[in-house]
Amino acid sequence: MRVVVLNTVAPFVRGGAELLAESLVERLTAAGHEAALLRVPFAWHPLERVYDAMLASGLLALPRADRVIALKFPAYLVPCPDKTIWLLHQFRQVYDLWGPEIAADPAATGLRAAIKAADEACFDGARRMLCNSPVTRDRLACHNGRRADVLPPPLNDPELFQPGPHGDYLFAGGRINAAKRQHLLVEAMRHVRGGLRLVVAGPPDTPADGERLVDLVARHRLGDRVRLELGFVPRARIAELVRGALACAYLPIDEDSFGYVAMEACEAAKALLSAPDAGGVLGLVRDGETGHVVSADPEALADVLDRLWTDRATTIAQGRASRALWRAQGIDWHHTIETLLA
Amino acid sequence: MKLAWYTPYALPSAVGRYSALVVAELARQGIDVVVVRSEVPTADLLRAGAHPAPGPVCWAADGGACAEAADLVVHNIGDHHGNHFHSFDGLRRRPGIVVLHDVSLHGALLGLASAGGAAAPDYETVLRAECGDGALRRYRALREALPRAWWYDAVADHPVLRFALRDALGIVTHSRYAAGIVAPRVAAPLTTIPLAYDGPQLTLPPPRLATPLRLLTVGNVNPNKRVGDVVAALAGDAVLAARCDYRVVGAIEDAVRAEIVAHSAAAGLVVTVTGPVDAAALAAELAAADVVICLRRPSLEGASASVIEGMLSGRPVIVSDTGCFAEIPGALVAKVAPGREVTDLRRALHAILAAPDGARARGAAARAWALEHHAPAAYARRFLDFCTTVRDAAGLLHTVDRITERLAGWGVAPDGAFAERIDSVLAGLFGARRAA
Amino acid sequence: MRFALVSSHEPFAGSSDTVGALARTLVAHGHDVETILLPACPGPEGLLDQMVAYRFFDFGDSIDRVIALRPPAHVVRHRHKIVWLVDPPADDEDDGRLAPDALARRDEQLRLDGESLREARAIYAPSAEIAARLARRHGVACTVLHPPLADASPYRAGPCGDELVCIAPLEPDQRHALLLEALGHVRTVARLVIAGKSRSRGYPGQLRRLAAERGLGDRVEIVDRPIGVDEQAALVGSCRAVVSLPFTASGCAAAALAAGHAGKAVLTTRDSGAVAELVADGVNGLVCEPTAKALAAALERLLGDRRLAADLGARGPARIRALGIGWEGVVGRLAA
Repeated sequence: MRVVVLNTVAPFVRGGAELLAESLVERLTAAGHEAALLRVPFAWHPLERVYDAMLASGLLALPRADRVIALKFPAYLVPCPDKTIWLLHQFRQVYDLWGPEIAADPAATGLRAAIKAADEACFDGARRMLCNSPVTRDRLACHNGRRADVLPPPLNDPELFQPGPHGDYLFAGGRINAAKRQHLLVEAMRHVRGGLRLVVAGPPDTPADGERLVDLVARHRLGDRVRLELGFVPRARIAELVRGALACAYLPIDEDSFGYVAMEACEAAKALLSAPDAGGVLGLVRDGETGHVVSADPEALADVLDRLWTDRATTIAQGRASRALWRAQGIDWHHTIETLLA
Repeated sequence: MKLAWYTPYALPSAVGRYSALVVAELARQGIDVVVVRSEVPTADLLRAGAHPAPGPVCWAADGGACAEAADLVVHNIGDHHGNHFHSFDGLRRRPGIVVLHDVSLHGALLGLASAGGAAAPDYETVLRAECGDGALRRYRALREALPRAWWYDAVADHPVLRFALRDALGIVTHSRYAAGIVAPRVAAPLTTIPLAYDGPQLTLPPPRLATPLRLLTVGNVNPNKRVGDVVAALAGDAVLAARCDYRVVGAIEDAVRAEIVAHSAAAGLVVTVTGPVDAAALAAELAAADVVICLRRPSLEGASASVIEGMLSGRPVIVSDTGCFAEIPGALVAKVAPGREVTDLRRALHAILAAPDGARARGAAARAWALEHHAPAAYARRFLDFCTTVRDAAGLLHTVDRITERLAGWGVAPDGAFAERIDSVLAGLFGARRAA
Repeated sequence: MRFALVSSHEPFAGSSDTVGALARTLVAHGHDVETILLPACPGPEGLLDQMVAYRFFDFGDSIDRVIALRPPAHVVRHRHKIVWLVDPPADDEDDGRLAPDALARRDEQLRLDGESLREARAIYAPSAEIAARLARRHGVACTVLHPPLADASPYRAGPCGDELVCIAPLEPDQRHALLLEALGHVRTVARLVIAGKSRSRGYPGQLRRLAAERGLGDRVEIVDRPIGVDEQAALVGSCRAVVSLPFTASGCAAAALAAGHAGKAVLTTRDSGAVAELVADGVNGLVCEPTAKALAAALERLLGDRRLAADLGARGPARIRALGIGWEGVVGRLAA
């Protein structure tokens, strides 16, 4: 089948959606399809520019594709008959993020109506509507009254994360910022009595997010027990760190989905540590079974870190269980492509 | 280039006569042209015979198969739904160039509305959309008024065109007057080319201009042809009444005929109303005439074949100083001001009687001018140039349509800042050609 | 520097990876590169819509330079836009040579309008003929920058065989029919492989019929599918000579470049645009009049004289160097 994956691009901004789009094209190709990734530029400052991108998308066409898989606003507005929308993002500023600040822009009200009309006409014309998470689905239902099935994105490169030996450290990956709460883990290390070390690796959102961790390590003289790899970390290095860990931690605040960090940990059969307010990730963390759900507090975390260390056999068993639980979700490329091309 | 030329083509049709001249000339200039008859076929029409054509002729009513291979289609449109039925319809399905013969299409619109069918327009809806609430109120007030006050008079103030022309890729008018009415209403490229025409009477002897001076008016006798004014001008002037006779040649309603005859008889005038005649009889009428009178108020035509015929006859011609007639050089014809028909007509006729040599010279000059100005060869050349312009602009029109369609779908007003930005982007990209 | 490479991309058309090769080279030179492939429609329908769409896209503030490649990407807006017309459309100046869809193509070229070119910081054309046209038509100064092959490494010299090879899209503007007609006049028995992907379904069959009519049925092989780089390299590497006869100025010179890298002689015609610029008659190939008779004579020379073909071919790499064709040169220009 000839498949076009349609995404938006804000130059030099790279996140999960960009990786997902690229992986999707690779996986489609590997599955024997002809696949191409096309992207429409999108900028929304000033707000009127959103109209430009909508119109531009609306004027394009993809006559030679048997199937188009569109991921984001406004790329999904490109008219094509066999379009499956796998919704990662609407333009949230006019939906759930709508508030006094954006409403103060004189262009906002008209734009909000236009986007709603464009979105709904587009969704109604789509061959199938899918969402990447229950949260996206619920927003779609709430703001547009449209129904969709949830198709969570699989790991882009599961092959890299196959189970390996268990080392002596807890690994915390992903983007680094206050809401991901890596700093709580660093602080917990002050209270840890056993021999467990901590490795934090990933790109800080802002320089301050990185400096905060560096300061904590210095202030509490944790240099020999906490290793920070801040900045861009190649996938191979991330995989190496995950595979060699004793367990992994992911403590975001109220996230929509499992999160790649948790999915990678489970794929690599690592016990997973999270917090009761972490959101979607809790779907993979069953306290005492596949890891631990601990209140987001340095001392409580330290207790659990010691248990991971002292009861190593249980930790390893929980890791096996986390992989089994994750695998049972059926979130893999075979199923994903089958669903998208159905 | 292959052209499909949609037109009425029956012998009595003036548009058909024009079309026959132009397609013959286009063929002479190397264009592959097929004639597609746009009329609703009727027994009368089939009996009437058709103009000769240089290539195949087919009927749109039969599917218009011979038009399929054309690169470009041309639709002749005038204010008669039966004659142009398949052009109104065909433009929807395949946009092309429109040659517009009338500046008011109220009659055609009413005809299409009355014909019914899924695609039939609604008269009042179209009127309101194109001319506003005021026009609709006026129509409702006047539609029952006699003598057909809305249809023969008021419609001139409220042209309806977009319903028929919105899918045109380009529009040809035959007068600047018509272009001035079309331009603000339809966005397609527009050009004006003087109507291609030749008369059946190319070699008439010069007019006698002796007593009795024979006056002639040709064409369907609608109230806007001001036949009554001619009768009044003669009736109130003893000299003219004694020295002129008047012939009215063309289709006429019985009631109108009766009124003219009664009025003339009462004034002791010699007035003859012939009803419709064939080409030979028409030629004979022109040969016997001394003066051709071509008045209009209001003027609803994009061009007048009868005034060209008049000029080609070499007879002095008197026209209304309005509409497309106003564009004829004043040195060639006598003009009467709308609203002052009776007095101006008397003055013009007295001038002819007083100086027949001058009038004869003027008629000859008008004939020479009309031969050149309305020559089919020049018309065909200019028409082909316009085809090139239209082909270049057609894509852009399509794009503008798509933009408009998107914005409408999103409920974005077609004015305001975004629309201005669209304009400037289009002007920046295609400005040069848009101006062309 | 932060570059955005913007190109229209018609998916599944098997277009060359010039954009990818440029991106890789720029990255190797320490630049940051964002490659943005914009949806493109085949053919002239919808081209205006596409141009308007491209003009409306906003690339934000994070880019130092935009390099616009395949048209109509040249219409995108950026304060520092460099246009490198890779694969430009044919236009009305080709009409004389190009009968079938001349009108459509003429319309297409009209869209290469002045304003969007004039606002560019620099304009590079893929051939001297295109550069001259743009200068003449739009008054823009334009530098010739031949697009190198995306990857020349698979092309290596093999034995000088007996086969003629013509690798190009199976489209009438590659003048396969003329080549078959010429071959019909050649006395030396030789095989010809015509390989490439067709877009118009009837065309390959038409060529097969033509070959049969000329009694060439068993000597001509017509391969209608996309030809991968390795397969091309194998075909070119062992042939006697490469034939490339595009009859538009914009005709792609990839086959001639492949021949050059593989040390093979090229046969082309005087009016073959970029290809004719790459081949110096009697140096790295033969350039003849676009007639069956002249082509037949040239074919006869190449087929009858293996030594001549080998000598011409051997000078191919030097010719490419002399013309300065290569990715280092491209980056030198575009990142200057």
